[in-house]
Amino acid sequence: MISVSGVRASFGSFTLDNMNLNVREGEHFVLLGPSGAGKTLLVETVLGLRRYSAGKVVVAGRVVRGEPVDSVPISYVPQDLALFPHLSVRDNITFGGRARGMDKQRASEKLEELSDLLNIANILDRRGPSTLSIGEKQRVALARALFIEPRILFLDEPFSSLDYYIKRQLIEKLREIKDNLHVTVFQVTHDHEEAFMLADRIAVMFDGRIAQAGSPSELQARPATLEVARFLLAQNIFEGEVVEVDSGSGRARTRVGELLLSSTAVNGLSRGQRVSVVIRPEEIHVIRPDRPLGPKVQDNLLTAYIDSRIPTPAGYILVTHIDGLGGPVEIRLSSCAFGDLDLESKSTVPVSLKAESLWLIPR
Amino acid sequence: MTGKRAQNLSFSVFPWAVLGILTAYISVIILTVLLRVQGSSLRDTLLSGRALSTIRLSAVCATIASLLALLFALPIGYLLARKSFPGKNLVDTLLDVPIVLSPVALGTALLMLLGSEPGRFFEANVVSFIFTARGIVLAQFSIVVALAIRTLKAVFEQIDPRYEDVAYFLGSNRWRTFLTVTLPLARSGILASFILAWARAMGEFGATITVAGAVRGKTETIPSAIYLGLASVDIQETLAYVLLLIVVAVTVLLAVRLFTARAAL
Repeated sequence: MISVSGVRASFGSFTLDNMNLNVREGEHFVLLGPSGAGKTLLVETVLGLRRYSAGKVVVAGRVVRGEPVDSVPISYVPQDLALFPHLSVRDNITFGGRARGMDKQRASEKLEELSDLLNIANILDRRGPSTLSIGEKQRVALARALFIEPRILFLDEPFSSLDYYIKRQLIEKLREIKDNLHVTVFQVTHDHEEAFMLADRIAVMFDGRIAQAGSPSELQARPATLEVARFLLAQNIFEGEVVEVDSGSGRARTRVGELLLSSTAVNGLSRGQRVSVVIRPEEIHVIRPDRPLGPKVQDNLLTAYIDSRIPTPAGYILVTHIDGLGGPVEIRLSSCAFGDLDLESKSTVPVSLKAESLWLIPR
Repeated sequence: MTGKRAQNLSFSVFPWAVLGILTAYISVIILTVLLRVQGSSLRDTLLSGRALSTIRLSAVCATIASLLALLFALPIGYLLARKSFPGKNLVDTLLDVPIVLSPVALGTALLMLLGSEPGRFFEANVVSFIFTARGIVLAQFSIVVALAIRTLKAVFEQIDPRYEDVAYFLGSNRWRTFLTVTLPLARSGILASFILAWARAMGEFGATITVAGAVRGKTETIPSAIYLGLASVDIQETLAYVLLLIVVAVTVLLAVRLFTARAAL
């Protein structure tokens, strides 16, 4: 549905360099990156609002050349929403219907359908968007975008200024909309949670280039570069050196500090190679003394010293250290597991850094 | 008092003092006119047939010139606000010339143009400007069009182009987007621009008298009536017209402030 191949574009001193992306029909694609990565510039280039100097952008079969493609209905919700301040809420939503000559009966049905879907029936008669809360504005902007039944929906940081509760509600709503309306979504965000909750595929972008694209689970478990790992995980990244690679069994052993850790990832590694060793905090298995070890947790059995416990909305983070490993190790536990284990600060706990969850990134 | 506190105090007081001096100066100028003008003379002058004809001619010509200026300024202001093109700075500078050029110099240049071979042909066969009310409109238009372009460019620059992008994707073509999104958002700014242009045209003297002269009952505008009054040492008649222009100026400034305040809401 959207193809970006070898695109280069300069905007002042900022450059989008060798951009390559493919968004399939019906896919929810998320461009994830920190502020200033060039995400909005890339979206605007794909939309035809900005010109590019090399490569090719194709949207719905048409080459985009500095002019928006209008062969298929495309909706765009910019970061500031751009609700028309001189129009009522109703007229804002139905703007596209009037512009496209939609018949009144159809427009009325569509308005009712979207009002129900987005819970905005009670604000339709407001004289303008200025009196709406930010959450209401977001829903009105979505309704306006969906009114024309777009084939592709571009969303630029759609939930960036929302409270957590409203954001979660809208994320659920967007999932529902995408499933019901079969629209291809191209979304930009800097928010990991938003990206992982919504995306079929994610592209991680830094400084005007795509660092990695893949499914959420691929990105989480197999970050391609240290930069991606740091951006997505931020913790549990250690330096090491590969000491043994057995391609036959598909296992490698890596020295990290004073420890030797096993991993099932060999991904083109060679002996003596320096690597970053990465493990997600929720993939560190806390071993219960009263239960036998399962087959997946028999490697890398270590003792973690609990330095502190940090409560989070989803459970607890244990900040620990492991002798010989160097650096703090974070372990994420659900409230339920944390309650069962009855862990105290300054106590120890046996853990397994699961071999299949240990990911090695060449340095 | 420490040196730092004294400096801070003087920093706070200084702009207030300058503001006080300037407002007092302008107030004294207006007050002088108000004190010198005689009520009976004011009434007699402004209600005379000649004054009414002068005021009407000034208002009609200023209105036509401002509307014409707006017709040019709307697309040009929009273009300059939205697009980049080769030579834009040169064009922008050229359009500003009437703002910085002395009106009498611009009027002289216009007179030279109309007196040239093609100009004389135009005057004789198409429409004549020299010493006619049409000349007043031409002179006023030439002065105020640059002002209208400048203000409308600023108005369009303040409107986020995102509105137009979103409207375009929703299915609106560029004309429809301009008419249903951009123009309504610029409405207050356009009104303010028109009022400013109109007031400037009402007060225009140098270019007008050069092109159209100051023929009583034919091409006499309020500023040229002031000039003629001064020339004939008729102080009371002159002061009556000056007061009228002061009232127009204050009313216009208040109206513009009202519209721009609304636009900012």
